[in-house]
Amino acid sequence: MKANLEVTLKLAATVAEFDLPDAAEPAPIYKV
Amino acid sequence: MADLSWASSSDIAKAVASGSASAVSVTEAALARIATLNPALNAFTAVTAERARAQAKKVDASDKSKLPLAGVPFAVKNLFDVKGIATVAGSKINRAHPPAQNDSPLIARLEAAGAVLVGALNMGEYAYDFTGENVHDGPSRNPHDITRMSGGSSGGSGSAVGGGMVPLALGSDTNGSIRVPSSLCGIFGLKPTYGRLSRAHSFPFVASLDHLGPFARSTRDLALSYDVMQGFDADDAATVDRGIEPSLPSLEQGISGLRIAVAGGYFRKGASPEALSALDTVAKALGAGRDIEIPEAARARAAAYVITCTEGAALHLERLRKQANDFDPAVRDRLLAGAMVPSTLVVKAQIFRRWYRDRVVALFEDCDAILAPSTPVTAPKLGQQTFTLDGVELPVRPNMGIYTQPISFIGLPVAAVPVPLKPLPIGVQIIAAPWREDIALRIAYALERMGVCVAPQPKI
Repeated sequence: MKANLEVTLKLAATVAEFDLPDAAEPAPIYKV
Repeated sequence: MADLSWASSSDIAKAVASGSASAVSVTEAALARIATLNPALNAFTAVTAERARAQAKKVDASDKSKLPLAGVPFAVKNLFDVKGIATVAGSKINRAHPPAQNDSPLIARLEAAGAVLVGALNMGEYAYDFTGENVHDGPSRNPHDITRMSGGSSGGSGSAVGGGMVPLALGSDTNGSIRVPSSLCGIFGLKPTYGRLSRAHSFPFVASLDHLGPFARSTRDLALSYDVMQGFDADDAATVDRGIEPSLPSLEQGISGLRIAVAGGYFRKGASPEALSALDTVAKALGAGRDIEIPEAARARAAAYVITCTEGAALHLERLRKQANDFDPAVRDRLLAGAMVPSTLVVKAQIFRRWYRDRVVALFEDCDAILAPSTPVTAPKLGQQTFTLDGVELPVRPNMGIYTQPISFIGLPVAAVPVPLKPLPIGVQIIAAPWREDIALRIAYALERMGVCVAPQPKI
């Protein structure tokens, strides 16, 4: 389990370090 | 009656419609093949013989000219609800569940088209698997070499179709679970656009990534089954009401005018010579000379990995708390890890998904389809724990899907096609824009007509 967590956190860090604009994922919007 | 043991669904349906074969005789032959071959392949976990015989009789008594799948035997991964059977989803835990009260709507739609359900198929536990191995049921085996993996998690589906037990099967694909077994078992698979086919009455894994779709030994059979399974279903919140957009009418239009590119960069790094040879063979046959870079594919794969283990952990948290020892340890430990990932990292992965989706979809302004390997290697040996990709030794189980994960992450449709290399086949993905399954299938059909992509018949 520890080894799996290490792999997962390492992969998560590669995503977290990617610079993205704030609020890129809005809440669901009723479009109709 | 002609030998229909390796026949396509469309040929079986034609034979039944013309009266040269009956649905009952085709069903009995399929049940006999299962009895003969399943001890070696271990693809089936349940055989629904009584139900199949009743459905076949019903088909024979119907106007078969109106049934596009008249008498076609099919089977489903055991995460589909089959009325009267517990939906085990490859687990020990779900065996205590009561029998399903209803069939999956996809089963109902195939049966309404004349198909005959003959059983439920082996799979990796809770679909968290790329190997086809299962500690409770034993591994489903590769029909081209039974000492090798079928691929997962829809391993039984790949084994049953590739091994000639049935011409058609259904599976699920969260990160590659249709495309990986298609590749390893040398058959065709379709992962439709996210939201196209109803997932109601199937056991979930990662709701924001789960897709259902067919396996077959020909593109026409994929199109036939896919077309009859389409349609909005209010019971699955993800299905989109686009009406039915049939793929069969354009199947034979050819590839003239289609702009086909080849994924470079990430999708060539780590691929074995066999995977690159298959990709290059397909690209050459299609005249696809242009390389295209799918931006941040490695990060997309990482984000898919994070969302998978965390959403999966949320789904299974109570079972992990109460019945941890009843899980396959390899699945349990990945889910437990997912339960400990900070939520901020999960949100980051979701934000990244939106960014990535917009950029990849924009690529389709300049091309109609993108080719990529389905798997980095041909079928590994059963029990094999690691392989070497790009000089790095990596565990097999999570890494068979390195080329499929960045695509399903944003729900794009993919036709997976087999290249019959010797001694083992390997697959190529034909990736299309959202809702353009028709284009992916057109290209797959053209490759089949050229003889480049063919499901090889195994010697079992």
